[in-house]
Amino acid sequence: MHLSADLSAYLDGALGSEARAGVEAHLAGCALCRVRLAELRETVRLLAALPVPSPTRSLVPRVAVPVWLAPLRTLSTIASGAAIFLFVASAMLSNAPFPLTTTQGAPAAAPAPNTVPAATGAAAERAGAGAATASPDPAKLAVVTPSPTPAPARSVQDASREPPRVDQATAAPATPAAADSQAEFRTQGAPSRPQLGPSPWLWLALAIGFGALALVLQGRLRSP
Amino acid sequence: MLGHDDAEDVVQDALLSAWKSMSSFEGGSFRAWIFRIATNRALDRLRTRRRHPELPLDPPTDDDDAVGWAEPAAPGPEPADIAGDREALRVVEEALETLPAEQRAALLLRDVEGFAYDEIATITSTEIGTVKSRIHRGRLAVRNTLIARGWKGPAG
Repeated sequence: MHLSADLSAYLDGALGSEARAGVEAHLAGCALCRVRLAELRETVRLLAALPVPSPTRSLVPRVAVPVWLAPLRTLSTIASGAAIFLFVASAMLSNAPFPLTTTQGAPAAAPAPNTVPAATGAAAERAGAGAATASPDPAKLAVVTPSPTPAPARSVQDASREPPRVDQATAAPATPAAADSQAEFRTQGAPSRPQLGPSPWLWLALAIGFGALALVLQGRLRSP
Repeated sequence: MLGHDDAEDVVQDALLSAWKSMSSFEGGSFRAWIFRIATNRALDRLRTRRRHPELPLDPPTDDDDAVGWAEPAAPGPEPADIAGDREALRVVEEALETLPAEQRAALLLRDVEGFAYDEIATITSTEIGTVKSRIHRGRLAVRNTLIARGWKGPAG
């Protein structure tokens, strides 16, 4: 009795160990079954070598979803994340007490370009007034200026650079206004805090908006 | 198993069906799952195309050993010699077309797609014993066709 179906199973390694041993024992003593096994193996090789037909058209079903939905969803997700980050960052910056920002040094104070020019401008004006009253005291200026550290440094530099021009232009009329501008500067300068661009709440609103958009788009993509 | 156009229709149909029933995928091999859907679609199409769909495509034979091994023809005056793989592959494709659809499915899933017996049993919703039998009979039929065309086997 020669082997048949077990030869294929043997080729495929689909026999249990006992059956495999039986097949091997038979093969050892049966030339015909060895030839048939070799033929089957060659048949399998030919089958595996059959050319794979490639489709002539795209077979992925076209679901009625516009092409731009997926990238737009990704973009809104990223934008939402970025807005959340900006919200947190700007909220931390604007709510942080001054000692924190000054100990953080230049990087913390750097993204506050709105306040620094105002401070230096006011300081220059004050310096001009101070020059007119003949008491330009940089140390005093630095003490009065209620801005983070870099701002006084710059205002002092500006003050030492500016005085000649301001002096000539506003020497006479500046004296009465000096007290006023100084007082005004104090009241205006006090609440100025470093802020990252617009209000943190704008960033939060943007984050919520983009997040909602991303969710809606995701919903469209999942169940067309 | 089908003509080219039909095959493309079936694949597209199966992919759409898979997409719609994605929630019914219960883990395991995703590839086997897709093949199960596609194979069933193809067999369904073949059944509906036949005049008597109630007849099984693959009449069961109890004894696999009853399937004969055709013996190589004695070298005649004009042996239709199969020289290279290219000719052999053409004969293999012809032989596949004459196979019952379920045999063909099992054989292709095994030797072309490389699925294991138990995976093929799942894909075609049959017993492993049936899978083993179909694969062997399919191979034997291909081998017999090759032999009948003058194939000399692995030696030649």
